[in-house]
Amino acid sequence: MRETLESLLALQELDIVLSESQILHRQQTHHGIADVRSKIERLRGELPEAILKRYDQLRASGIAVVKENDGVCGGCRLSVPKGDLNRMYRGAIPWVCPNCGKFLLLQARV
Amino acid sequence: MMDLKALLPASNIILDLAAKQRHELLTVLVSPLVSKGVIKDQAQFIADLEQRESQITTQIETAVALPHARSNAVRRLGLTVGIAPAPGIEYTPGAPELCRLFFLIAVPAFAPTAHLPLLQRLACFAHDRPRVEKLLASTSPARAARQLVMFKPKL
Repeated sequence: MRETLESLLALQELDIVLSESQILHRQQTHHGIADVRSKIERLRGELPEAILKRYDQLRASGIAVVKENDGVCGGCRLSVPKGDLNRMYRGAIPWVCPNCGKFLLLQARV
Repeated sequence: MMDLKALLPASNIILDLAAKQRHELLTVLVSPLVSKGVIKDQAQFIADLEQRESQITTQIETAVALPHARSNAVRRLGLTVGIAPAPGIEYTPGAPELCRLFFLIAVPAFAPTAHLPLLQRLACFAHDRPRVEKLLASTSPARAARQLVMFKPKL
């Protein structure tokens, strides 16, 4: 799950960079934009269909992937119950914030 | 619409930017935000700015650059404006024009799209060459701030 979420986070970053560049460079063709688009396509090709569908739904209204820090969701800033976190680490439930529904990239456990 | 007045006090506008290259320029532009506590780690934020520049340049063809980056070193959204004396500074190596006007945006990592409305507004301003020329001729930070705050983009 961690690899998938890291890929999703990279995809989200590229999506935002693309939005920024479209704002800045408008319709002008910039070689960097084509590079970013091809990276996005490559990443999307590597991700499961169902995850991508959920990602696109979340992105339509803002951010899709956030980081967990000390048991707190980086999106809604609410605590994630320890039981849920343990189940996520075990792989028993998807890595999704139970409060806001965003994908939750968990901190690496030492 | 975003309140630019709150985001851009006159102390965040630097006229006569004294810098010869990009790293030096970014250090000067970041300093008001560091002193106000918007940025907690200057080196980290400048590294994030350079990383963002390596993806696609933020320089546009009207000799304006809008460096910005999402960073864990940023506490809240921040903006500084810098004006360099003519002929300007080489911001993007190999770019046909030197840059004279800089809008630096600090974006907190926990709100990675919070700056997009601001970027949209500043980009509208930056693509309007007569307005850019007028801003470049500003004689005081307060006048420059007023010009930017009064600007209403046609979206």
